Amino acid sequence: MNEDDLYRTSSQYRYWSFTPEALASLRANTNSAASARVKAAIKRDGSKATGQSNGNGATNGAPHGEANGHDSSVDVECLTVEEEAKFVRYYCTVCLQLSDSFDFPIPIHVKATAVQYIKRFYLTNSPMTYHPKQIIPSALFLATKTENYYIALTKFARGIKKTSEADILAPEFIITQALRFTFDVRHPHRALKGVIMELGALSNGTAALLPQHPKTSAQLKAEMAQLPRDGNDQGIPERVSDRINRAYELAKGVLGSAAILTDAYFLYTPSQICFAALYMADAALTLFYLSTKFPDAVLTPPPWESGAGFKFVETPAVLSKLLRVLEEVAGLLAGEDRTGREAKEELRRIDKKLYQCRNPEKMDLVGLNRAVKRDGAVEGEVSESAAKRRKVEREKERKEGEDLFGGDLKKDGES
Amino acid sequence: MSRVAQRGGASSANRAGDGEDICPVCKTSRYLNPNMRFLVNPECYHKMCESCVDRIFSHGPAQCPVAGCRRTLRKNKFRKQTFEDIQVEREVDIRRRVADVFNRREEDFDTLLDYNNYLNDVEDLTFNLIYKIDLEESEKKLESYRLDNEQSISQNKALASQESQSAEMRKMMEQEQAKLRREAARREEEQLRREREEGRQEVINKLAAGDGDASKIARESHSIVLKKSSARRAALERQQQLTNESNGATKTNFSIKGLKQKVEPEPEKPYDPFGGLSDARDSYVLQDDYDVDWLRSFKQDPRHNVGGYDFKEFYDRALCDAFSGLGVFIEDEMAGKELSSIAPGSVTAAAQAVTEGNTNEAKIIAEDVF
Repeated sequence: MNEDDLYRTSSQYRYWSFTPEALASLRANTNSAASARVKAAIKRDGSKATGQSNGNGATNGAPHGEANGHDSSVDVECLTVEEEAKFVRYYCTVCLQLSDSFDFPIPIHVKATAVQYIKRFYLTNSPMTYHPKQIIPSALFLATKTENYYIALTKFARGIKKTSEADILAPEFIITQALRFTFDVRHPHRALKGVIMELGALSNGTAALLPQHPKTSAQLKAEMAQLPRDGNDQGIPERVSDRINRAYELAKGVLGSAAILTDAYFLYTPSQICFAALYMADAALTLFYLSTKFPDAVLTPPPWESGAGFKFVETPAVLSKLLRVLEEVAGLLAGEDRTGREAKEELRRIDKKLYQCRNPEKMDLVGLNRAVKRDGAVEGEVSESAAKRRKVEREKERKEGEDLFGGDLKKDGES
Repeated sequence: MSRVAQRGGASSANRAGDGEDICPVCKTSRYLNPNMRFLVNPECYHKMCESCVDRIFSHGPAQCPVAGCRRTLRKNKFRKQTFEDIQVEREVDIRRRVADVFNRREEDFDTLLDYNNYLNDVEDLTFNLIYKIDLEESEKKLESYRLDNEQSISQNKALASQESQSAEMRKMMEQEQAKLRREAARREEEQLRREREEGRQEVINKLAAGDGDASKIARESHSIVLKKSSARRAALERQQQLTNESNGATKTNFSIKGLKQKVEPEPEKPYDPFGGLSDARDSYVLQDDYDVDWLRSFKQDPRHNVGGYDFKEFYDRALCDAFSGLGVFIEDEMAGKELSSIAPGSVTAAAQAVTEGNTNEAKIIAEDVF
């Protein structure tokens, strides 16, 4: 079982890896199903509200002001797939900001897991059904638990404004259900540390090479010192150790933001993402490192002869394919845009639109959660039949308890 | 079993003392003739002493002298009794006679069932013969079968005798070879001893002659001895191979015809608790230590230096992470997968519920906790 087979056993590979087409169609399915449900729910809500002369508290001020008319509810304009994607993406950044806003630090792998939970959640759920604002704190709290970074709930809830402990716990089960109870997220962060460790060993000339590698570590050290600095990598420092540190910091930055905000986790493996980030930071260094892992590959021209055009001439099929994938990932990560003024305008528009098309039945998650736990009862008032049933049950239990503890015996003793 | 037989013999000897050892025909006892031997004839199984047999049957067939028995006996059929119980003696004789005629083998039959049926029939016949049920008819059956199948009977007989012969031959060959091996080993030992002796003598001679360095001479002689021993080992191996080959050749000569080829069971492999899983890594070689800036502070942290915490675990995990999935191309590998198998049930079920209208509210609840 080699490393690739190990990855194939992970739930991330089995359930959460998609081709781009599959990902798109999955999102389209989710969107159409959610819009249908939202329309049905609003219609139901509207008819209920008109029937009870507008006094229903369950809708909690639901946006059915215009929808109150009997047939207008069908005209609800739902979010498109693109709008949903933008919206969720924005709230992923909000999640990162939120995790930085606590007075205790949250490590990067917890943040990244939380963001992945949100992304996975919105693969099969729509923001129209569950608003990201409700999901984010819960996802982050769940991530602290699954990543073994314990924070007490009270402490956690104190750190978020206008959020109670119940608000955090309420959506927890629907999130785990949407995650298909697979909590394991494989990240590229530790992978990057591993690569940097080996690069450090290579630069010291103390690296343990693969047994089939033709060169000695001393040779590789010499080659490494003469790696070219081409293209846009002008700021690459002279010393190899500084160069590695610089690449590490840059790649770490990419992995901490762009990698977790894009769909990279769904489309590629963490190892590929890690190498792509490193490739963006220092292409020559990455190619050199990969060449030590594929002994058949030949790097040419020898790096110390010409400054530019540092490429593989002779590549095994796997390596050439890998390089293509790395370019793809690098493109994806680099194309990740920062939220500018225009994007903000767009988000405001989507938010307004969402206000009109939210599913009124799924707004009060806390109430719904309580209702589920209490067998469908509303706070304060217990339905008559349920109360009766409970009373009968309690009575029965009491009787059985008496029987068990020897009511009969006592009677026998008396008689 | 044997003890019971002994006790039976002892008791009978006690009972009669002379009763058993008295010839029923001439009433001579062992006391008078210590060399007395009793014989029986498979015709009637009446016991009599050797001298009686000589006396009565030397001139040709005669009637059994035992009162009431009118069978005509011949001298050449008399033989020594094998079993103490005369009934057993008789049964064994009958069985031998039947087995001589009915000597079909299992290979002659198409199925095991046929063979078993045949054995059953034979046993029925034998039983009839032993207990004298329809004796005439059974005898006739036996005779007619013998006449009908004379050829196959003789063939099978020849086969059986060949088998027993070849087995004997093989045994003999094995013994012969064991003897040869022992002899060779002895010779070998002798030679080795002699050579060593010679070498020592030579060294002493050289040292006595006084030319050259003493330690050098000793080393040289040592290397010579070593060379000789290694050469001898090679020769021995060659010889072993030769004998193995010849063994194989003899085996093919003595192949037994008609026997089913037995398949050797595979030797049991050593138990592998991981069922073939290995933790060997293809893309990196783990070092004992990595010198990286951000690791130094951890290495000095006493919390990481106590027992139970191993930096190698982290190194291994980090490097494994770095390469696990590097060769996994999701676009290729997931292309064949159907979307429905990827998508969780809630989406499709929910969509279905919506299209079917509000009546299916329960279904939605089943899929969705709220």
